This record gives sequence, structure tokens and C-alpha cells, in this order.
Amino acid sequence: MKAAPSENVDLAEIAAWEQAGEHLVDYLRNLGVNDPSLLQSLAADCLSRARNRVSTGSVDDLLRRAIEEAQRHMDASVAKLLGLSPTRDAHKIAEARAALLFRATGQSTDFLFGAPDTEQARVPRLKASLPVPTPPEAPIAMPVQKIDFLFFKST
Amino acid sequence: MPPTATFPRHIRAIRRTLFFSLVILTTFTALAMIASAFQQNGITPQELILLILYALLILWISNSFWTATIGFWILFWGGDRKSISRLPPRASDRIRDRTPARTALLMPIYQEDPTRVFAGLRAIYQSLLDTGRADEFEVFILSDSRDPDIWIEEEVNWYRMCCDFNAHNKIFYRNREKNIARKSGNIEEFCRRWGGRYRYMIVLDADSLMSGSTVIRMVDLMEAHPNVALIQSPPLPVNHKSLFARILQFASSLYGDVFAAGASFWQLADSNYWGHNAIIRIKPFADHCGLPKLPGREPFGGEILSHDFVEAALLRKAGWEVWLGFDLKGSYEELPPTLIDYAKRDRRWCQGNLQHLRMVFARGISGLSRLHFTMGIMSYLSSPLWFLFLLVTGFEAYVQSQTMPVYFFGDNIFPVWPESYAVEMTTVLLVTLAMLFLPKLWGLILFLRRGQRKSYGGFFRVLVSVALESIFSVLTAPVLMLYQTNFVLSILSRRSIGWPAQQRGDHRLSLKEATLAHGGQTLIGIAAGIVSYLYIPSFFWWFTPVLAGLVFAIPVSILSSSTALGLLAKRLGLFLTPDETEPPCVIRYLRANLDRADSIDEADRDEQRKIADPAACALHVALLPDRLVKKRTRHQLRALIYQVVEEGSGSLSQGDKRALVADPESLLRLHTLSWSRNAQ
Repeated sequence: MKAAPSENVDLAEIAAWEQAGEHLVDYLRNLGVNDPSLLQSLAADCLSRARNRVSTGSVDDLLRRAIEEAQRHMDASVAKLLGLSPTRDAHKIAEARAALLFRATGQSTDFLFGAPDTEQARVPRLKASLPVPTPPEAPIAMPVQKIDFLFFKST
Repeated sequence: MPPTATFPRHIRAIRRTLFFSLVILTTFTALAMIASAFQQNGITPQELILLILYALLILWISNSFWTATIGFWILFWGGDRKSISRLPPRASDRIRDRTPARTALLMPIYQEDPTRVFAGLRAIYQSLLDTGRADEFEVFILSDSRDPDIWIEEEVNWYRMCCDFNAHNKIFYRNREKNIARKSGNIEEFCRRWGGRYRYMIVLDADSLMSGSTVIRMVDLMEAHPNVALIQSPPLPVNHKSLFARILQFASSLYGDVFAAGASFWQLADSNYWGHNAIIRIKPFADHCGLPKLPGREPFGGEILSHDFVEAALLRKAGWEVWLGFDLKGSYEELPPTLIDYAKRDRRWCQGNLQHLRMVFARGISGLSRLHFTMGIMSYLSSPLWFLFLLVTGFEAYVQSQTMPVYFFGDNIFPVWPESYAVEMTTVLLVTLAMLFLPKLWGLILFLRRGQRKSYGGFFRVLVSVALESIFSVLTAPVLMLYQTNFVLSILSRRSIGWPAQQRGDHRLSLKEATLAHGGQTLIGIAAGIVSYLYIPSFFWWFTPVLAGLVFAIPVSILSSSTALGLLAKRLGLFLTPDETEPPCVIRYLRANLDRADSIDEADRDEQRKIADPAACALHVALLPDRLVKKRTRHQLRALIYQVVEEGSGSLSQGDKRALVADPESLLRLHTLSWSRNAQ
């Protein structure tokens, strides 16, 4: 288990840690989280998980891990909301995440991290907004035509 | 085979006999006049060459002239009763088409500006919604774009469009992993995968615009005529602001109708396909239009570039009808904004059309299909022929100027005066010029008859615009002649140019750009001017319109590329078209969409921001297919990520970037890195 920044860490490092925290909040805002208290608590949670996975003093590593934690957190919440498996249904989760981040449901993603009974009401709207890039295939044959030429080699 | 009887043969026979008789009669008359002048002292080799060249050129001009004249006649008297839009329905209850009565609107794109593409597509969809029949349609964006930034931007625009119109199962997007066979391969892949879902497809181009009512009308016409496989609508150029584009838009608006109506008169059910803004019955298209590769290497072998003509020929060969719906309005496209862009587009089209040389000799296709291919070839081959004609004429004039007339022969005591054929030669010249310029007069007469004075800016302004447009076309014709001659020669020497994307947006040419593009032409113009002035002064004055075009190519090209001048002309009421003065709904929608897109922060288009944007990134990952990545590939992708970290994304090739962006794991890693590195 790696240590959290302690009192003997120099001031520059503390400033860097704080900056990482701010950056994480900024990232969470880009994930559609609006509620200030939710932002702070999510950031603290992600940072604390990340700290367990990086060595002391590596601020950029810490931020990277914290961002990954935020992504994981969001995916887990989406999976829970839609009743999907985070490992088997990665594609469906990605679709739902895209719909949420584009605000296709018309709201922030705060509700993802809220109480379960309020979340469920939004599921039909989310499902209706999932990106559907292509319809089911309905294949038909398109045979390559043979063209014969006078004076030239045919196809 | 088509389900019902085809168009009556006798109507085709009468119309084509009339048209071709007029063309051939005009050609022979002009040839007879010029030949009588040449026969004075027997025909010299250079005169024989001139005669052959003139025969080919006058045949080409005469074909175009009579097409326009017949078109004028038809429009003057209110239209053609035998056009596809006026024919009584031929559908029968006995024969039911079992394919789903649904139409796909296809937008094949390749490295285009996503903002313009989606502004246009939105406008079409908005217009379709206005008709109340949008449920019968589904939209497909068939992307062949290779650039990862454009790819992601297209996806974002697509999904926003789905959300804005609440059309999540109506508007689709797919990016092809490998763009085999370019546009024809793109559409072919659509047919193979989803063709069974639809009865018709309407093929668009990146700059196409079609009003909802036109789209509906085309579907209704196809339903009414089950033996028709394709209806081509004549797209009218609109929307650009540069002087060059506005002049061409004006010309197309005023004179374009007569050519389309005339072509429809004699082509009838054997018309052609122009590649976009057309509706196609999918089943016969899939059955007969799978294109083979031509034997040999590019530019004549390989993939068929100008696939549209070949597809139309194959449909006609299979007994299906192909129509030009000349009176279908509400179909639009955009022109290249500058003379140089126009020439670049010509370069691609030239290669595509010259590739059809062997298609002229394809077995089993109709005579009219061969004529379509020949006409396509002649659109470009006529330039080197004109060039050669001018050279030989200059040489002949020089020879004549060096020949001393002999007045006394043998024992004759009376002088024999040389016969003058000035009248015949002047008549030939005037007839040729008349055939070139009369279609403009036909357009003017129709403009007066239709009472469209206000929408074109008034009678006086139209007259001024026609005069200026004529001067402009005289000035640019020699430039295009040299360009096309160069293209034809380079293609004949087997130099292929590939199929580069077009630059469609308005942009003013710089002096450097124009000098590089037209410097050679200017030098040729100056040299030809000096030589002709010194050695054949009588020829020089006849030659001045051609020389002026070449000598002033650089300033003409720069000035005509100017948007400011284009807008100034608009304020002065010059080169106005009804689509500018009273824009239809679909054009108004397009402009509003473009204005809205322009107001989006430019930073949103930044490359780094696309990867960093969690929404764009999440959408892209969601659209990528599930795929197992081999261990070796995984390591290579990681190496590329380290390269980005150490040397920046600029150090990657486009292929490397695409490989990274096509892999969900690598993309997410880049996304995370872009945020964690920003913190430093």
C-alpha cells in the first residue's frame, strides 16, 4: 500500500497534488457531473483509490489512475443502471456512456451516482437514445458483371 | 427483366431520327463550305488535317447546339408530354413489387468537411420532415474517410443529428474499414449488406441538396413506373459566393434547362446517370451493376472510376429504363469555388471518362450507351482537338502568308485572279460562333417568357450579366483548353492521379498559388502572341480572344476566386439566380445550419480536443466493432502510444493514427493520457 502525501512532502509537490485534484474535478465535470458536493466527493474517492496504485511523488501517474477510476466508476454505475455486466457488455455500456455524455437524455450525469429509485425512471429514455449506427443487415447478392469488349481484353 | 412493357419504340425512333438528322445535316453543311474553300488548288496535307479536326469539332458543337435548341423549343411550348414526369402511370396491380416500400437516402463521403456535409444532410431531412412522409425514408452516411479526426467529427455530427431529430433508428452511419473501389465500392457494400431493407436508394454527393418534395416526387414516379430503374434529377449549382462560382451558377440557372430538356427529348428512357441526385431501384441495380475491374493497370485499367455511366449502360442493357427528369426542380449541388479547383475536378473526371474508351467497344450495350461514353470522352478530348486545330490553323495561315500569288500561267496574256473564299470562311466562322452562343439567347428568351425578371434582378441586369458571363467564358475557355489538353496527354501517357478529395469551401487564391497553376499558360500565351504578331499579323487579331485568356489567366483566376467580388456583384444585382433571391426552404435550412455550425467554438474542432472530449471518445468507442487484437498488434499499438507521449501526435502517419483510433483500448489510453498530461 502506497503512502498518501505526508507533512514532509515539499510545498511544490503539495501544489501539484492539489492541481491534480482540480484537474480531476474538471474531468468529472466533462463527464457531465454538475453537483459541486458530488464533484468533490467523487474526486476525493477517485484520488484515494488511485493513491493506492501509484508511487509517492508521481503526480501525473496519480492523475491518470484517478481518471481511470472515474471512468470505471461511471461504467460501473451505467452497468448497474441498465442491469448489464461490466465485463461482458462493454459495448452496450460504451453506447450508454456516449448517450449520457452527449446529454441525449437531456440531463447531467449526477443521477448516475444518486439514489437507485430516481435512476430507474430515466432508463427508458436512455435506452431510446442509445446510438444505433446501423440497422440489422438485410443482405442481397450483387454479382460482379462480366464485360466483354471488342478489340480489348474482357473482364 | 423489367416487369412491364418498355417505352414505345416508334417515339424513340422519330425523335432520334429528327435529332441526329439535324446534327449530321449541320455538320455536313459546315464541312461542305469549308471544303469548297480548301479545294481551290487541291487540298494540302494541313488542310486535310484541318478538315478532319473541324469535322469532329463541329459534330460535337452541333450536337450540343441542337440539344439546346430542341430543349428551348420544348420549354417554350410548355414542356414535353413524353417526359417521365408526365407519362401516365404504368404500374399494374397484377405485378407487385415485394421489396419493402422504403427508401434509403445515401450520402457517400470521403474526407469531406463534416460541417458542410451534415448541414446539407440536416437541411434535406428537415425538408423531408416538412412533407410529412419522412417515415418512408432512412438516411445512411456511408463514410470512406481515412483521417481519424474527420472520422470522429463525422460520428459526433451524426449522433447530434440523431438526437436533434429524435431519429435514432432512422439515420445511420458507418465508416468502411477499407475503401475498396472508392464510391462505387462504398455503395456496393451498402447494397450487399442492407439492400434488402429498401426498394429504392437516392444517391447524394457530399455537396448535394434535395428538397423533400423532390425526393417524394421521385419515389412516386418510381412507384408509378415499375420498369424504370433510375431517374436522374438535374442538379442546379447553388450556394457559393466566389465570383467564379456565382457566374457559373447564373449560367447554369439561365441556360441549363434547355440542355437538360433537349437531352431528355432524344434520350428518353435511355438517359444517363450522373452519379448523384438520382433515385435507383435497388434490386435491378444489385442484379446488374456489380462492377468488375478492368484488365490492365491504371489509368485505363483497374477500378472503374466514373462508375455512373457504366452502371446506367448495364441497367439499359438489362432492359431497364433510365430517365432524366429534366423538369424535376429542387435538386442542387455546389460547384468548385475557383478556376483551379474546377480544373482539379476536371482532372479526375477526365481520367474517369477516358477510361471509358474501351467501354465504347463493350459487347451487348446499346448504341445510345456507346454514344453516352463517346460524349463523355469528347467533353475532354475536344480540348486537345481545339488546341491542335488552332496550331494547324496558325501554320496554314503562315504558309498562306508566304505564298506569292501567280497571276499569269503559261501563254495566258490575261491575269488569273485568285478566287476569294472569304465569304464562305466567314460564314463558317459565324455559324460556329452562333452555335456556341445561341443557347444563351434561348435561355434569355425563356427568362422573358417565364416572367422571372425580378428573381434574376431585372431585364437590364440580366443582359449585363449575360454579357459579362460570355466575356468570362471566352477568357476561361483557353485556360481550360490547355488544362484539359495537359490532362488528356498525361493520362494517355499512363500517369494516374488517383482520386483525391475536393476542396469545396470558398477560398481566395493567393498570387503564388495562381502563378504556379497558370504561369505556364501565361508564358504560352505571350510566346504565341509574339510569334503570331511577328510572322502572321493577319492571324494575330483573330487569335486575340484566345491569347487574352491565356495572358490574363493569373489575374482572372485570382479575381474570380474572390468572395468579396462575388458578393459585390450580388449587391449590384449581377449574376443573380432565383435560388439566391427567393431561396427555397431547403436552401434556407442549409444556410441556417451552416450559420449555427460557424458559431460553434473553433476550439471544438481542434485535433487534441477530439480525443480529449469524453463524449466524442465514448461515442467513437461505442461505434467500433468488437474485435480481438493479436498480441503482436497490441504491442505495436502500445509502441505508437509511447511515440505519441514522447514525440507528439504529429510524428505519427495517418495510418498509424487510424490504427490507434480504431482500437478502443488504445483510444481510451490516449484519452486518459491527454487529460493527465494536460495537468503538468
